[in-house]
Amino acid sequence: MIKARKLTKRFGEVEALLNLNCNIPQGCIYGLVGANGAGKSTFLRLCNGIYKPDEGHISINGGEVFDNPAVKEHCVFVPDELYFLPQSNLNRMSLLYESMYPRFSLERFADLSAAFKLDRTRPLNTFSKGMRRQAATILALSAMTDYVFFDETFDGLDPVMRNLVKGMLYDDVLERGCTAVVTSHSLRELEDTCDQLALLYQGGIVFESDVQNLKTSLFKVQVAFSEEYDRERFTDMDILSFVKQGSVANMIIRGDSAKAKTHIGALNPLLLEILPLTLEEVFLYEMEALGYSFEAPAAKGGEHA
Amino acid sequence: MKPYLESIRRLSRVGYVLLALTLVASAFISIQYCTQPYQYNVPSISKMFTPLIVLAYVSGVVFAYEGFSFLNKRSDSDFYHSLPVSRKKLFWAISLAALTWIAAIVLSSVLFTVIIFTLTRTPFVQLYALVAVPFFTIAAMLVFSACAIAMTLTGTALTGLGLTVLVFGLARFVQFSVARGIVSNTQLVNWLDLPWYLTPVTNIATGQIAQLLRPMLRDTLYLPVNMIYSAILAVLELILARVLFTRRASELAEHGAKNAVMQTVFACAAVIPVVMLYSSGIITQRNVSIPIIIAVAAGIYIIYQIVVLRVAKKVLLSIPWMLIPLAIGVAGYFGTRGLATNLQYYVPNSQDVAYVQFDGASRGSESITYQQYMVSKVRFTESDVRNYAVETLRDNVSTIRRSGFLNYSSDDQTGWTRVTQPVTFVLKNGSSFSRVLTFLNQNTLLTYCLENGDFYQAIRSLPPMESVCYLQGDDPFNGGYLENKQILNTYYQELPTTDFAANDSYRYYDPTTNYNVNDDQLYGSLSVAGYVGMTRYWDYYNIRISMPKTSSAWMAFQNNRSKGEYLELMKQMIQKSAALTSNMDYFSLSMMFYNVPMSDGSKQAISFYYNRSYGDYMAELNEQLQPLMNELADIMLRSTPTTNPSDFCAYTNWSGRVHKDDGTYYGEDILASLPATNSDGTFVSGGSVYYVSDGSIQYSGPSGAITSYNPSYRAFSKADQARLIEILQQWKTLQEEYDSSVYGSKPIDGPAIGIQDNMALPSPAPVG
Repeated sequence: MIKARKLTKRFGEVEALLNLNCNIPQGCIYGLVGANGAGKSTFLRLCNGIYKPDEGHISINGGEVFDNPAVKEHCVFVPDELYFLPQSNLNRMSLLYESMYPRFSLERFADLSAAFKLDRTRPLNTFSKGMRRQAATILALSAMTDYVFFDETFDGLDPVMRNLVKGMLYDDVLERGCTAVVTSHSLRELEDTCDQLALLYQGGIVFESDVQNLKTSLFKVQVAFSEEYDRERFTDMDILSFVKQGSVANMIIRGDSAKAKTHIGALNPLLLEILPLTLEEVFLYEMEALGYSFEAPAAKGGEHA
Repeated sequence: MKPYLESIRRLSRVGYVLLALTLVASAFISIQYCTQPYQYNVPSISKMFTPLIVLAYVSGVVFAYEGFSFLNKRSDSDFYHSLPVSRKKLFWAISLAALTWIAAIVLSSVLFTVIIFTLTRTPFVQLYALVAVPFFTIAAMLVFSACAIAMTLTGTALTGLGLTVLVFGLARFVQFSVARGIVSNTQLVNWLDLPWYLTPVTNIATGQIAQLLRPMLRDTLYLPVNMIYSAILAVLELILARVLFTRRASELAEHGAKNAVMQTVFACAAVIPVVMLYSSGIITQRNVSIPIIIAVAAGIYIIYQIVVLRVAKKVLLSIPWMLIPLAIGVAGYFGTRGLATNLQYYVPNSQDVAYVQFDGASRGSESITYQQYMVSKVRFTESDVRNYAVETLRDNVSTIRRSGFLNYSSDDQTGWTRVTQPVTFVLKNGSSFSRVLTFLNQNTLLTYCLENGDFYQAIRSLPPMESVCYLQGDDPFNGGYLENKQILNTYYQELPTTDFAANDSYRYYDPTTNYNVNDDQLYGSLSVAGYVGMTRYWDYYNIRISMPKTSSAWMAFQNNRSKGEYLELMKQMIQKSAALTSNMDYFSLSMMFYNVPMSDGSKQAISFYYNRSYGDYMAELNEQLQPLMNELADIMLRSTPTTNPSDFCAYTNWSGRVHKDDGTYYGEDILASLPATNSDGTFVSGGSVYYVSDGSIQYSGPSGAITSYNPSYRAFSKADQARLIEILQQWKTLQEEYDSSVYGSKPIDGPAIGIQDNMALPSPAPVG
């Protein structure tokens, strides 16, 4: 389990992370989403002992990470900007990983290389950007660690390879109980991959939830009545957003959609439609509910109540 | 172990390149040295392993930059810090891998060099090979550790390199500057007399540079104590680098320094060498220099700060800190002068001196004499020597106090007997110091030194025969060195039977005659070179008539090598020299007569010279000498080679360029008959020809001159001996008259040339 308490990291006068708290349970795929500069990469670097926290703590399996090989041997990190030895190829890199990671599997390395159809003897500096990402992923997954950290790794892969990587990640999580922490600035990348999602904003996790719950916890209701009405008509419902255009109102409601449908149906609407939200929309509305000012695309141009 | 092996693999990229370059350079330099046509001394460690001097600096920087290159790039730094290995372990893995590579390269190079020297049978100091491996490895590791410290403090290659220079050399530059200031501000303290904390060679990496600037430091550089000190320093620096490495923030990569404070520290450090240039006197200490130095220092400081800080306010705020290096400069100026004065004016009480040692006037030179090496080990506990040394130091100091410099030439009359010697004073409390003293009377010093039995043995000692690597006569063209071994053997046998020291510098000196006291006729000399332990020596032995076997062997050696003295040609040229026809023509004769009977019954060696040239300024004297010379040439033609050192004999050198009346050269036929070609194969008809003693010839220039360089010792019949004495008497008389009329000089008192009536001419006697 990865545990962060009041985690703070500053770069000069910039506070990259400020009092961040989170728990990442074992055996899940944890997605971290946030805009550029939100602190995603800094968090991953702290998770991997690259940075030393200025304040607070971060521990993995109960041990502090920074300069602690006993903990770090359970972690592997695929950063946004990759590192390969100069003039090296995959075989040479496998020797580096093998000398550093006690559980590095040459067998798995060979299998993954074959699966990705990468030439292990070809110099890595002749690889395309996507191929280099694949190479880094192969090496990381071959390290057979309990924790894998991907920093926007999927963003550079083509759809086929992305699915291949994701498949391998699922296998690791299911078969070995591995934990993966994946960051992206695109929620869509993580939507179908992660078990849990967290939103980083200005150095702190502002929202964290189970993806399945998240997807079902909010829904959109499109409703119209013949008479004049407003938000007050829908009592006993947790409405996050209410936008009315003419006689049609769009509501974002948290709760049980079936119950909401029954409740609103009892009010004899002219129109009643329950629509699912994308994960991105869920995030935006949740954030708005928390008081962070994001402008939801769907809500543009409406009358807010 | 795995991170170490991985680091070995990672450094192999530059490791193999450096190994190949070093081996090629070692082979090239070794083969070039070993195949030289003439060698006369065992090579120094620097000469033998020159590529390793370069390697020490290059490999230290290259391996540090390769090993810690990830510290200069954010992504690389992140990667290495994410690996499951502690920073401490990672640092040591890289450092030990670098050490392994450096040691392997050094060892390979040393072995390669030794193999080449062995295969070519070129003598070398075997201990050098053993010393070179740790020496150059440690030197390289000092550079590596300095570079490692710099790289952990900065995050860019450029600032890393700049800081490497500062970490590696700043302290030593300050030390060298202070030492230089002391040496230049004192007359009694030389570079080799500095206290240990100012000796520039204790750090062997910077010491290499110091010995290039001050070659006298060369030999002390390789002392084991310096290697041990440097090894400890390298380890301490590595430990410091390790601490900095573990504390280093990964985010420092791609940044010059952690913060503005560190940048200011670097800027101050960069300015210190500039101010020390003035403080130490490397830049002339004149008032006008002060504002220039301050301006240059300020310029460097401000430009550096503008480049790294980039914010005007920060630059302005940092300016007051520049006062720190300036204050160091002021302290350096007064500190250097104060230290110099203290060192120079210190005189111990003679009763506090346990013993003194004489390191030898040529200490620190390329090679010393064996006797100096032996004398340098002698401890003079005798009160006469100790008192004389202390009193001389006191006198030297008072002279300097009085005149501001060591001024003896104007205030006493001891110019001919003064001798300058470095002296080490070892005090009874165990401390020691050395000074370069000017003794007023070398004979007094010698007398006192001879009270010491070890000294007496030392000056008469000869190096172990098996340690002699090169042996040479006084013929510079003689390449057959070891053929003289028989002469050396007889010299070794006969020297102990004489009263002579092996080295003439340890003999009494007569200031009135400007010769050593009780000198003897010299037939030749031997120069031997070799090594004992790690000390290379180069001795010069005079072969005197009092060593008859050695003299005879020497004469036989010279005579055997003499192939055609062309005495007939000499006679023709002497005759024609009375009327030279070309403005480049000349004739020059130099003869050494041995065992010339003198009026006091002694036998002396007498030099005889005869020089003629076109437009002769000594024409009057030479015209009077001409008949004598013609007769002398005839006598020489009748002479026969001798190997008896007791014979009245002559050794003749001549050279000349003389045209015949028909415009051709004398000796032209000889020139034509010889394989007279230049090194490029062109014919050198009419060029200067040097006949050398091994029968070969050498050429230089197309002047048409012939130089005979292969004389033999030639003896004369009884009748010719009698006539020769008359010729010499007449020559001396004519010469004295000429000197009196032209220069107003008077004849020197002494026995006259010639035999008394009751004396018999010497006759050839068997050598026993």
